[in-house]
Amino acid sequence: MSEPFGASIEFRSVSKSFPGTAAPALTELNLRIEAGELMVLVGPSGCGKTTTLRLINRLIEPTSGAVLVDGAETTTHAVEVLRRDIGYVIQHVGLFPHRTIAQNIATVPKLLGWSASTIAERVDELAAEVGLDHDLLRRYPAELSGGQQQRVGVARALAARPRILLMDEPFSAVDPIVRSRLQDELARLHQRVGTTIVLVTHDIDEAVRLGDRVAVFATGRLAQVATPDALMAAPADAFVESFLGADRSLRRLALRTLGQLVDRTHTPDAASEVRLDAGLPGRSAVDALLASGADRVAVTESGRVVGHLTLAALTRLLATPDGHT
Amino acid sequence: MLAAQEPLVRWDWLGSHLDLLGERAVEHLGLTVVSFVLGTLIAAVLTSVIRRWRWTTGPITTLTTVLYTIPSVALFAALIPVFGVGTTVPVIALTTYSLVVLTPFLVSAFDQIDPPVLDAADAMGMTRGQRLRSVELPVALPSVIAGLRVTAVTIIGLVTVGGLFGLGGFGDFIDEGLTRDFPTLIVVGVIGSVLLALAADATLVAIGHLASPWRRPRGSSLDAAEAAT
Repeated sequence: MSEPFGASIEFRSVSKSFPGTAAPALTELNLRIEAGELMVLVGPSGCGKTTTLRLINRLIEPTSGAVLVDGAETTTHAVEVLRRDIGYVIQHVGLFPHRTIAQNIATVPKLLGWSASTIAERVDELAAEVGLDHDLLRRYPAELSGGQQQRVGVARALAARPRILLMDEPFSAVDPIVRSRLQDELARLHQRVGTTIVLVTHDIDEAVRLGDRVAVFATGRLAQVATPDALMAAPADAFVESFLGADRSLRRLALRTLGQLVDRTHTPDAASEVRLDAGLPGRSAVDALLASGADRVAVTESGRVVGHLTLAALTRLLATPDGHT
Repeated sequence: MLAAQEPLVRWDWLGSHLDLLGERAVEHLGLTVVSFVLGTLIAAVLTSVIRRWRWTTGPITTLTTVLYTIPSVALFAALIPVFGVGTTVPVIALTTYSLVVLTPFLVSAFDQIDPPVLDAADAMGMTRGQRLRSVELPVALPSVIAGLRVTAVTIIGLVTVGGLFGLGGFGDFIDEGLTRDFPTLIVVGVIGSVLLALAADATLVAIGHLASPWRRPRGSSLDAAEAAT
């Protein structure tokens, strides 16, 4: 990871009740998000994850408790000042329909009073960064596809190099293929830029795929915070367990490549057995074992067998909390 | 009943009264512009009140609806004894109708803005004023123009009605034509106000078109753009 210049975020006993609703949206939330971390907030609808996100840039004010960015309460400065240092991407993108793509991306730099030439340079840089064709910059949002609009949304959010990026279901309005590509790009972008990212989703697959850590919300409370692997290895309670689904062992195996799982002590033999490349996800070994009926598969690197995996070995791996041998 | 020998339009009258025609046109336009501007300003204030305090929607809507149900002829007739004959009565009446027609258009123009757009504007750190100037007004503009068009055409029509009470404009021709049994004046009055309405409408359409370049997509190059990524 590059120099993490992102800011830390801390919730101290934050509660939020909306007028006219009986149950609080959020009860006594305590959560620390480290600088440069990609934290995913996940849970069913109405669990308080979006409320939590919007508390960070003060689109929602807490009923009680405090939200801190880099150790300072978010109420220290004018709300506009806070927000201009926090990027924000939402499911419905919310591009300004009357402004060109370039003007949309330039929104916050313009509010901050950057010079026209600096802005133009930054817009070009961002277009390249998020994979937007340069010709699109002069178009209006209505002329772009959903996937392209979402890229513009990300570029606009990152324009003034915010130290925090908030994303509310950013990929749920695009089709699965585009979604998967955008998720990969976000992971790479996070590696490169080092911004703290808080991402809200209801999709547990997206959560474990993207998150450095995952915070699972039940109705108005934080049920568990953990790395994806630790989460699936040891759900804190029945709610988390049911939310993770019945196939969390397979999901856990999907987080690792065969190369990371393989037992390299075995001597290679038996030319007839199933061979899988080390770069494949762990669950492909389970698939191959089930399909072939064999008791082990061979794992190869550049075509050379480097070791084997058996069902028993996979079971042992899953039994260890951190999933390592 | 018109005399059988009287033609619909006496072209020689038209030719010799061009200056009168111009005078009536200016009167008509003047009354329209003044009440249109005043009505728009008041409607803008009412709209911002409604947007700021939602509970005022009901009372304001009720008030404007009640005003709207007063027939224009009755309103003119009721106001003249109070304010006398002059420009005060038509301006009050026409301004009232302007704001009555326009306010619902303005409220819905702003309500139609996609909520995520406003959410994004707030989250980018725009102040209320910045959001209004650089997002809400331009995005609402096409619907605002639609409301202004209806209002302008309505007012021009009502100025014609005001002519029946000696308030000037093309309605004067109609009034006089009816009294004198002179169809040329009626035709001139009707055509004059229709042409004025068409011109006002075309002007507003042109303004809207120029001010909203984003509403005219340059051919659909969406598929080409999609293929390129």
